[in-house]
Amino acid sequence: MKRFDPAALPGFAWIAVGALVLLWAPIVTMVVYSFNASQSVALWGGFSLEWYAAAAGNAAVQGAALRSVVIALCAAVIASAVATMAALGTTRRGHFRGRQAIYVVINQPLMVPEIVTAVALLIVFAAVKVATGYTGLGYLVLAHSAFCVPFAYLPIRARLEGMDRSLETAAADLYATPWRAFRHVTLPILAPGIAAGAMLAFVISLDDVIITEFVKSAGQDTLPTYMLGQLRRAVTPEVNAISTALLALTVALLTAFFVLTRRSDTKP
Amino acid sequence: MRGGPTRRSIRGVTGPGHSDPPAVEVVRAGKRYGGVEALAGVDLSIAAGTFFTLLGPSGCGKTTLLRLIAGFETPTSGTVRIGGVDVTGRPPHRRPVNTVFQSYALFPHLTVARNVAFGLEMLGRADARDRTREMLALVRLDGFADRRPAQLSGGQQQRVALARALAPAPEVLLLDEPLSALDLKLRREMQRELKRLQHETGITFVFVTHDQEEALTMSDRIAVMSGGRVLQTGTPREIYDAPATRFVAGFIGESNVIEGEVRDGLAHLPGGTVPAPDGAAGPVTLAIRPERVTLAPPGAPDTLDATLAAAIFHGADLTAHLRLPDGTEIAARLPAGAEPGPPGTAHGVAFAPGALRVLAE
Repeated sequence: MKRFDPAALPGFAWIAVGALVLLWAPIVTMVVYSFNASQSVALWGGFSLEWYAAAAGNAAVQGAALRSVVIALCAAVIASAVATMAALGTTRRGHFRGRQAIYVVINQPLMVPEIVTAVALLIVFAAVKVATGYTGLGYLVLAHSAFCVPFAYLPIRARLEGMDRSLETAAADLYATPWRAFRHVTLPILAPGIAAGAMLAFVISLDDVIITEFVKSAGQDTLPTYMLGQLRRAVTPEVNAISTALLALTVALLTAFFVLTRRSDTKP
Repeated sequence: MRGGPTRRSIRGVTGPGHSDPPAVEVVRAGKRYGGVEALAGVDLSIAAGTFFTLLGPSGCGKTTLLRLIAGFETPTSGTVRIGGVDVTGRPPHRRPVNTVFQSYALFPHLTVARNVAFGLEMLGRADARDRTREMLALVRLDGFADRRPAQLSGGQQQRVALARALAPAPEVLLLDEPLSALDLKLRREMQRELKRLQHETGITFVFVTHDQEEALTMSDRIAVMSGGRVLQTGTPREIYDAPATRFVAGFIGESNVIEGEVRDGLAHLPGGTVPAPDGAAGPVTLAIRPERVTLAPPGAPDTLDATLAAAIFHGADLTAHLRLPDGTEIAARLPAGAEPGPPGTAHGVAFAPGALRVLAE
């Protein structure tokens, strides 16, 4: 029997090419113009690395970049730890009532519009700031950790579900206490999944604008919110350079993510 | 290596007055999963140093029983003792037993040597390194210490699983259908290997299988299970020659089953009378193996009248399928040279003296 094949429809190739161009042409343009020697973002003035140098030498960019990395690192560690426990809790105790509901609760940030979460956090953190007087990066770290949990949770759960349950039984049979079975068998086998989850969380945190914009205090710009602020004044190729650097970092991390989630070694 | 010849001094039976406690003792063990009864009050006593097999079809409760002994499950009722010590509520890591899993369950992130050493390291044994080398030699995998399980063949993985389970020198080794994933040739080889290892180590083996031939060739004693119960326990010869129930007779090898009645020391069966087995009386179900059935001239004394339905040549021998007057089919295993004639030929069916068994329903 012949299956329906969309590739055989007339115009398929044109639509495909058009979609790919729309997806990639702007990014390619941005990358190219980040090497532009001209002041303009629209006119080509020869190859140059001056905007990279300018961005790297800009104290505001340095501060924002450092803040972005610190927040993303903290969020990645916290989110992957929480997600690991959530994954163990949802996959290692058989079927129980309300498991589906727990998936929904864990994945809240994927479903609730980000702007809603951002406003809610703004209100709550404003109250906390007044009550405690603390205005540090902790709020951003907490907020980022929270919305990164589902991104870390998915690869970790996939890894756990692909793991042969009899491995833990075998460890117990070979005199490992429940903690040592976890420490010596479950955790090492789970490690690539946790690393992948942490990387995904890192990338998601690095990229966030909406929640950061609402939660940050004065002088707490991350790279994306700094760039947004710049665009409100004048667009300079410096923004292109920062974007390209972010893109390169993200591509590197996502490549590592896909390498780690190829689960060739979960079974003997 | 522990044990030695004293551990296998008695074949199977541990009678009263014997000093060693049984290696494994299961007393009225029951296990329910929700509304399903997986084990219905099983009693079992396994003498130290024996190769003991739990045999039965899938779903008979043999694996559940093994998991109760290992501690992966706790019984709903009853008691499990290992070496005379009640371990019913003990978690698996505090029981002196090790398991060879059906899926092998080798740790994929550890080398062969680290897999074998795992139990020893968990016990904090100082001789883990030497003992691991010794175990790898025992299963003939000396050169494979630094490989990963994924780099080994199925048979090699099987031997790593064995070495890993034997390394801590458990009081009892539990084997959960360990050969079912191997092809026939490799399975035969591993059967011999397992017998050798059991003999050399003197450790009590409890082996689960659904393969009756495997059970007969390897075991010192067999418990035949069905429907969550142990139907019969005995040596392979006892189980084969004297099956206690119709199920055991049908499950172990081939069996002819004949209904009849015993009066005045004679079994009145369809097509004639034959000497009755000892102790039988009234309506009975009798069983006899095809190789204990012979052909005689029609109407000879102590034979049943029958006609030949079909004769099937197997190479080394020949099976004659005979029909009694009431339609009961009897298979007779005859020498390859026998010539029972064309279908429809009249024969007398004779039974070897003492070979007829009375079955309990």
